[in-house]
Amino acid sequence: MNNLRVERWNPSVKMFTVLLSVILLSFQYKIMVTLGVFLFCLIMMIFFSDARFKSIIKILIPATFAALGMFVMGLYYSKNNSITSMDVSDISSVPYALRAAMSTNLISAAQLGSRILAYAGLGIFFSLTTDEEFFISSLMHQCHLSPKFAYGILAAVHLVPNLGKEYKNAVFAFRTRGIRVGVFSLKPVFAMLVNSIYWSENIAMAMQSKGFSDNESRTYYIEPKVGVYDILLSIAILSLIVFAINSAPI
Amino acid sequence: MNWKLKDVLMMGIISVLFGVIYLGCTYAGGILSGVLTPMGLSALGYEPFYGIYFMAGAFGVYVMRKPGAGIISEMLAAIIECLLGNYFGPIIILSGLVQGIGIELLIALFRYKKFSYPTMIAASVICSVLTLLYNLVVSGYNQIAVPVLLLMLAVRIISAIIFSGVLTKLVCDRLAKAGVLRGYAVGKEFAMSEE
Repeated sequence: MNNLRVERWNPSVKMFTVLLSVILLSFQYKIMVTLGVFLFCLIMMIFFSDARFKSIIKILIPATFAALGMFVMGLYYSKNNSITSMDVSDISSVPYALRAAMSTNLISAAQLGSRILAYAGLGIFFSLTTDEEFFISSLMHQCHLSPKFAYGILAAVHLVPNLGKEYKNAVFAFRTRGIRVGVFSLKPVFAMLVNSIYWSENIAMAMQSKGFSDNESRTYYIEPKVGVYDILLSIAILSLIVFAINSAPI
Repeated sequence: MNWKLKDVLMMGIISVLFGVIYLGCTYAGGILSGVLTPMGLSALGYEPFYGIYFMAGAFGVYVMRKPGAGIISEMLAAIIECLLGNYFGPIIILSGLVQGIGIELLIALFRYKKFSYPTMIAASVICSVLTLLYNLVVSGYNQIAVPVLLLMLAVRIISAIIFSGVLTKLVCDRLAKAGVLRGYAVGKEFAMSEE
């Protein structure tokens, strides 16, 4: 059963499959296809990955709101029958104008909203089923990302938990000097920028003093490879989308 | 291209910092977008913060002043945001590429020699237009009525002018004056002007 997990799918191949799917979806407007892609991503995550149901729901909430927002936007302001192009000077006609626009715009609204859902489905599918180190290693081995970029990205990502602490330090430093710092004050942000630049110099020096070099050959802890199944899965998904685009009625 | 490890780390950490600021703005944008949803203008809620998206690229090309700096910085920022759990996942790497090209296009035409306020502002405007063209195709904005699109573009341009046009240059110049950017192209310019 462990062989069927999408976590094992090569991350670079997975990334290109997601990006190609997005490009395919960009040039079509069929609701059944976009909703189908969204459902497919959910099914893959629930049955063929180790992604926790709770984290799927948690990340889906903002995505659903974004999709809902686009849906309502399409409902009001589709180019076919936007309420901006109607005569709304007569106040009594406004509700009618709204209703008229809504009834004809329902399809474009659904197209806009479901497209966001499909993209979010693909994005969440990738994010929740891809280990960050495995992803970056794969970018190094399959996409020829140079090790200095790869380890630079990882170092930066791993610094994130320190940023909050650093912000508090900067605020305290200003307070001890008797300088007021509000919530929207840029002063601590500027101090953090200065420190970030010093950090980057220090980390670069630390890495180099430990023998990190970009030009010499090195060994790797994780070495992702692309197998036949990685490619087959990608081809299967993309062909399924192309088939759906060609055969779905709406 | 000649990128040093410390350049990569600098851009990476700056991207993380912008990423966190951006995340804060996304919450604000989310609330604004929610408020605007009943009026059908939810997508407009995110537009005031668009300029912050462009800041990583603008910062990179302004500080390093060499070909590819804007595009690479913006893509680094996008990969990092993808790792931090943006719900659009690797799709934002694609938007990062478009944003990077948008901000660097004009600066490349000037051969990485002009970095005045008008240049940075014009680059931000071009970036806004280019990213909206990308949204027209990829996000399906071509389904939206033209007046609404123009309103969105206007808000996006204002945001870009403030954040990636003016604020980025202001902050970089102050950092350079403070001597923090001595190892970079922008720092050398300030060192020369002080002599």
